[in-house]
Amino acid sequence: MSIDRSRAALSAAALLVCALLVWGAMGCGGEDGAATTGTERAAASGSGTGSGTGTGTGSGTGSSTTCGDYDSLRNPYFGDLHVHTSYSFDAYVFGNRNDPAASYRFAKGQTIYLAPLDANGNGTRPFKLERPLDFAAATDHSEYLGEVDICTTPGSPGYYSLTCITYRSSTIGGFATFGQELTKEAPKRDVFCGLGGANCVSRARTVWQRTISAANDAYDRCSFSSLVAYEWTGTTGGDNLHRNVVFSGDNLPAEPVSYFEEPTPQGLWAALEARCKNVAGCDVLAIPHNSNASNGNMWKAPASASEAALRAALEPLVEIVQHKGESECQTTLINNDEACGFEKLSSKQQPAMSFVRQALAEGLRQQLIRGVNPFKLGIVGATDTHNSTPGAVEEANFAGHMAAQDATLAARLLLGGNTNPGGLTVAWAEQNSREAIFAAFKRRETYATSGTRPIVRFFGGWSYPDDACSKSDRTLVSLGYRGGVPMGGTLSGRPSGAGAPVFIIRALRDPGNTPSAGIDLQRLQVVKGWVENGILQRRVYTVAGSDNNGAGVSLSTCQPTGSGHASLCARWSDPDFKADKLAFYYVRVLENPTCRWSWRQCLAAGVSCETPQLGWKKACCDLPKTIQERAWTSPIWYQP
Amino acid sequence: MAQTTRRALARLVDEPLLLFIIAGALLYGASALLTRGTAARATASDLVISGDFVRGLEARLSLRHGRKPTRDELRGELRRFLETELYYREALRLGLDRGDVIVRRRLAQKMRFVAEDFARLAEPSARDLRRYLVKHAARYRRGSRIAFTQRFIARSRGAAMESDARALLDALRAGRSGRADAAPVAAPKSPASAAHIARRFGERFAAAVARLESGTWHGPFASAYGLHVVRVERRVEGRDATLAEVRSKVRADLLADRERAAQRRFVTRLERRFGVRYDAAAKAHLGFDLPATKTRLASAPAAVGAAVAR
Repeated sequence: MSIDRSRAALSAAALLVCALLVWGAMGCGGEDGAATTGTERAAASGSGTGSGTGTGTGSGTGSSTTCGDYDSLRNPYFGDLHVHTSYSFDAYVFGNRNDPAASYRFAKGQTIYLAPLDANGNGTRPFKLERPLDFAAATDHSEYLGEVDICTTPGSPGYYSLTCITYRSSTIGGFATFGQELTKEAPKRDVFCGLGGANCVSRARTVWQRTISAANDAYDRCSFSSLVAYEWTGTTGGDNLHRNVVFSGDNLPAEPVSYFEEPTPQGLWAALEARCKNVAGCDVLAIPHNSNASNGNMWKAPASASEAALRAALEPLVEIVQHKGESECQTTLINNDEACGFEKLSSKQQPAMSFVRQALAEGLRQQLIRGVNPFKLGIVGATDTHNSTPGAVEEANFAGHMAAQDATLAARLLLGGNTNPGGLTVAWAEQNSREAIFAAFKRRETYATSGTRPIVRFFGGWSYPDDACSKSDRTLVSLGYRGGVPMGGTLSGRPSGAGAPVFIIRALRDPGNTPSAGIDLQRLQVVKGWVENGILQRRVYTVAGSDNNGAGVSLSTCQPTGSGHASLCARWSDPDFKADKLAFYYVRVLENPTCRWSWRQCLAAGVSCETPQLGWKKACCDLPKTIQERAWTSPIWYQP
Repeated sequence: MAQTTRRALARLVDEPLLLFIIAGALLYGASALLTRGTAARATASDLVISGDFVRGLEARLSLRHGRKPTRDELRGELRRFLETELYYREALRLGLDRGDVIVRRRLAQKMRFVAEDFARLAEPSARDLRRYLVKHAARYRRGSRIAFTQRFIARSRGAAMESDARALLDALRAGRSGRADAAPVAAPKSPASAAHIARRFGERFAAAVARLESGTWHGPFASAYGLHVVRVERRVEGRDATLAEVRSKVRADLLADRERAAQRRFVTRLERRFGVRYDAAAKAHLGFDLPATKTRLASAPAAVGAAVAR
């Protein structure tokens, strides 16, 4: 009965809008939306999601049985934690009409249609993952969730506001109108949102419920984990301070935190702590990304020990690679690590603190000052696709980043030659469930890849046997766990008489047979960081393989030449160990060289660098033609 | 009484256009009553600017400027509104809305939104879900799983790899142990899904071992690491999912199906209402006279037909 009644009421509400449109141009004509109040379309779409109850419903399928693939020694699960869909103000205005549900379908291996759009507003480029993902999170910008829905849903109050009309009619105008506000110290919502932004905030709540429902509906326990998430998009003064906020649990906040409510990272953390961390049935992480574009401001020293502790509790991970470049490190006069010259977004020198390696070292220094390491960061990778295409990371099949804006080969090369298809997150978890994967994030048992799927184990302990590398897979792994800690862990309590910590690292090449799967491995490296008299120190050790294995790639066909290693293993002990110094160690796995996406597309366009046509030179002949795909593990920390 | 009302409402919901017209008429009537005083001599087409409307304009300007607008600003705003409105009315009178692709698309979109709202459906019952699951069991099927033992020949054996692997297979089949290398990837001890095996051994390997008969040695099968000789120890056949396992997925799919069906029904009704027909040449060109292609094209040709009719 009540359903019927509310259905009739909702129908009547929807009709009211329409009747007004037909009957009185007075009501809906011209620019004024004043006459169409109180008829939000979203209000009519609450079917079955319990919207408006104050809190969202989380994982509805709370089965707790063990999955068939359960393994106490853990499986590597591949996923993408940074995905924009049509709910994001920029993705929509770029021409993306695929919503979060579509992005999850894509992650599972189904075809979706990308921009450009046809006359009916449907995508025209069919696109599909060669290798589906195990998990994904749609992370739409929390800013403007409500505004976009209002501006694109006829009948909404504000639909005919100047801002909305601009948003609908002009890509650049629409992007700039909303985007510029996110760089201000005191951002304000547009006037069409009403007093205090109330209309947009309440609409955002509805859209957030849809986001949660899409993730819950897509969740297929034991084979695909969809995580509820959004992106907080603080860009104060042009510094990229963005974080992806990822949730776990079934008692989620009723609305996302946006830059409008909390224009500082500290404000974001406080809000996440109050609304989720301290609430039963809710857990949350914030994952910073693109520190490479933060002008050195992503890793500001905390103002107090409590700030350091809160940051450490909420931010155990960092996204090291994505469309807009890699943030590990940069080659400088002091740093001669040539492998740092990988997928740099800007050709200009960036402040040192724009990079993760520096942040990890600074974290140790902060720990000496504050007693807490605020930058104890595990490593993840992602795409940051604005095409609703999680996991579309193949160099040979890059469909672009920004929907219709770079839907053509020429646009991709000329506008975004320095971007790349992005990377993946690998989580070592017992099984593919939301809880197990989120737990892996929290203990930082993760690594990032630049898109391929090598399988990397990394353990630190005090007494691993000399012949660890000759052991079989399971023997080595159980040795690893029993005798120490996996990636993301902390080695402490050094036994008396023990020497330097011992690490075992085993990397297997990408096992895939698909056309764009990875290639043989070239070498394993350990990157160490520590603090010496208050000065940050880093050193790179090559522990297996060599950069001199004779393998290469033909620039005219992109076929690899020579071969590398199917697997590499090292039992390595730090020759420069100092027992009284905090330190971190992470592993970098480099594959043999392959063609970069841009060069593949330049070949397809028939560009020759002997006589490059005007306009193509920069993207085709100045940018690197080859890359070395790679993996970066979370560090293992040494605590004296 | 409640019963009758409910049925009437339910019927209305099924007949959006009717409801639409009734609501429009009611609103028109209500407004005519309310504005009786000021608009006594106004005809239906007169544009009466009411005090309420002006106050509405003022409130909106205040929001935009962050202060109360001056009288001049208010008048300017009204003038802009009137200009647009008058142009709009004259355009309608001259029939300029017809044959305009943008107007057509916008109105169609509005109607689609209205229809979508009608298609919002009641929560499916457990019985609905169960029936749907049975009907589409293949979609939710849990794939078969296998556990296997492997012996491995590493790539590092080079040219001898292939013959070494064949010799190993022969030895194993003859009950001898043969010479093998340490495998870099462990075989699953408990039955594992094809996806799980593909993640560690590659897709081609996973497909090759999926259908092996258990108990005997097979191979060699190639992976990126070398060649594997495999004996399936245990197989768990695939089975249909239980509702508990896939409830949320089934619910989402069922609702999506229902919404699509409701949209299709709505368009079919509209087709009937507007009398969409095809002449012989169109039928021949579209292949509608062939029995096999007669289905599923209901909505698209309707739109095309309407456009052509105009």
